[in-house]
Amino acid sequence: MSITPVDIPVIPVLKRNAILNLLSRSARIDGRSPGDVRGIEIALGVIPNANGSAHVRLGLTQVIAGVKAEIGTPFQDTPNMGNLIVSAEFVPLASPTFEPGPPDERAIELARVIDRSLRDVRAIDLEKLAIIPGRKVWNIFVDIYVIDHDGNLIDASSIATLASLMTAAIPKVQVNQEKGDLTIDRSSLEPLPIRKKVLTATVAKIGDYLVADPSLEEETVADALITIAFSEDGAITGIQKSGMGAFKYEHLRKAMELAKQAQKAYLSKTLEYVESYLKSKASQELKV
Amino acid sequence: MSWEKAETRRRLIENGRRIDGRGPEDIRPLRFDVRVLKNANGSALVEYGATKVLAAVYGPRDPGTKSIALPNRAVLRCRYHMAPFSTHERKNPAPSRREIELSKVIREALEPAVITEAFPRTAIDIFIEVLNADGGTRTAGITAASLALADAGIPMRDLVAGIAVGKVEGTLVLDINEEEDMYGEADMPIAVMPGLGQITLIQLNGVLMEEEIWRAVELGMKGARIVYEAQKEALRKRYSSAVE
Amino acid sequence: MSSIPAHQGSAIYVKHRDIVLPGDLVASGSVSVERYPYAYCIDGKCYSSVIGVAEERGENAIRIVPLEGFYNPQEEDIVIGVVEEVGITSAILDIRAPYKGILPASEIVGKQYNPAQDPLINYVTPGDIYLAKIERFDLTRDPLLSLKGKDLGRAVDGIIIEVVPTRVPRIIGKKRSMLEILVKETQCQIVPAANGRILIRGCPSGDHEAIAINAIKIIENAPYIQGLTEKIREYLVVEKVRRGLVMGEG
Repeated sequence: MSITPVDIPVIPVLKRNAILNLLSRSARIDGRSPGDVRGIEIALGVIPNANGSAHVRLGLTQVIAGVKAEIGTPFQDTPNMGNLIVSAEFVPLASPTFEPGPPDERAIELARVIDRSLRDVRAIDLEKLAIIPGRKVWNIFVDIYVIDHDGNLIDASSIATLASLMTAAIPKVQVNQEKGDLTIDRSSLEPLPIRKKVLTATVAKIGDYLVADPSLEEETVADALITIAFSEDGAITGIQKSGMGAFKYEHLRKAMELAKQAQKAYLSKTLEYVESYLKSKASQELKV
Repeated sequence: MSWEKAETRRRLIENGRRIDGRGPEDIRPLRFDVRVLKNANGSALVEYGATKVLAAVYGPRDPGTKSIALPNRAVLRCRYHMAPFSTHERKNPAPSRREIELSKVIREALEPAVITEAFPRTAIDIFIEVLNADGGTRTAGITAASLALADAGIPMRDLVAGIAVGKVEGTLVLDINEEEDMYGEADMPIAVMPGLGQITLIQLNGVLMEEEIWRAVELGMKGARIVYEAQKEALRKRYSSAVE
Repeated sequence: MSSIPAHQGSAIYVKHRDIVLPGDLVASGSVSVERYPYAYCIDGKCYSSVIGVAEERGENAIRIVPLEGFYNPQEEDIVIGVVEEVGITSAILDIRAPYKGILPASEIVGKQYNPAQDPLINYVTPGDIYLAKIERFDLTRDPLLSLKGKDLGRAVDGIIIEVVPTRVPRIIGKKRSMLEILVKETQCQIVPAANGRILIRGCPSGDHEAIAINAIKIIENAPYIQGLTEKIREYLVVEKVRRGLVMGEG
């Protein structure tokens, strides 16, 4: 059962008015313009036990994504494909409003939105992850761990997901034809078969104004939010409206423009960090 | 099963006709009945073709626990659930992650409509049960819930009308069924308060280019308007004898 | 039915006794539209928010009366409540509303009441029925009930029937005309409360009681038709003859 949230911090009316006032002059409380995203930092390969990992800071929001690859049996209706499973947890230490227990609806929604954004556009070539078709496949688990909530968890999580997948490495697997078993060579690693780079961009509607990459305060006073997922070639691979308000058609069109710009900013930062990490890893290996 | 998939891989749309004979902008036969349950304060049974959804509303009432009450408005408690016999393969009755997400998304689609400020410290309970699933269950659920809320006398800014737009074999189609949802390229459920031009739910599952998004939204809003007229007709029908 | 007149620059889009539905545009401009939350206005346009009937209230004024729904408490209303819980200093009553009614012990027992010496449960039991007045109600607390008033207090006999609360004014009728007919023809004491509960007591026989209940149900389900009062009077007279309660007129 989904219940109207009662744990939302009460934002004094004066604060909301102050925010609206600034927006009427195209300004935001943290000094950004409506279309600006916050500063992004990405640390890669931070979890040695994971096949891939990324610690993302989007403003003061912090999310860690870990990729774990396991060999398992395929699903019945897709015997020749590996699987991608995305989960998310809003860790209680991340916010006074997060409680310990089974994932709450917001965490489930976030994981499913990111999962769908990757799945339908086939961002990962799951067919290349079949080891013995019908019997053994790679199952790729992406676990999103939200550790500090200052708004826009989904975009931070999407960046962490993409960065961790792009820098993940799985061992080469050899199939022994006669014995029908597998030899896993952990010393020989290869990247995941990534076909499309997908990122989400979220825009909040506050009164009649739209802002990209909302901070926690902006999210709290917003009527509604819209998250749009894009692949790098401009296709839209997901949309999710959230929040208790509504959008008019004109708002949606305006939100799309802001989202496109935000996603471009996220993508260029992500590629910058990923390329730098992969380059330094490659040169390290050469030295060895 | 992949062999099943290969078999149904006949054309989803041929010569402008969909597998069930509809044109791209045709909605399935709609059937809406209100006040179908005795106990609930308001209820509705809604059918879009073979998709059949029952909605019931209780409240505004005491929430039972102070911890979820709000001092200045009613809270909405919304549950979307699929009956075990509603799908091709029996569905496990335990709430799935999908049902949890849809319960949230449906509640958020109804929140803008209900005048909750008129009933502080109470709860309005909305139960949506999918009895038979053939595509578009969440949008049918929203349509049914709006009717049930009106039946219960709960004040609303407008009725919320839902419909799902899809893309099958390159063509945008209105009111997708199960097959079109599974084998099509995209699925966009949308819910609207047509009198106010407010979109209260929009999601996209699948891939569309930007220009297609706007055509799909426009098609969806047009379809929602048709559903809205049918909702009003169903409500009016009950009272047409009330006034001479 | 002709349209309702509005002032310059305003418009009324409904006629007297039109059925309205949630989201229907009923007026624009300076029209007085009663009453929130059954109607609401935004950006100079007013809409119905419920399934209801539009009524003319004079020039440039309309009212939306809900056809369905629960009882929304109002100060000064008379309600019939059923005791659900007995506390230390008050009893909590179900009044068929989103909120429970609070009946202080001092109302039940009197000003000298001392809860330590004499538990309230000695005076009130869950299931007891009270005819009470809503003395105070604002949205920050539950309605406060009082028994100060004519005929208010615990109901010791009779039966309670429930109708849709918005029909109660029709059961009373203009200038109490409908209620007078019901009382006169059935010879029962009939007390309709604003929260959709009606106390029927002191009927001469079971048949009289049955006729009273049936008549009330007919009014509840009847259309907003003209001459309903006369139709009910006819029904009551015919029923009494049918049941042999009076000699027929042939």
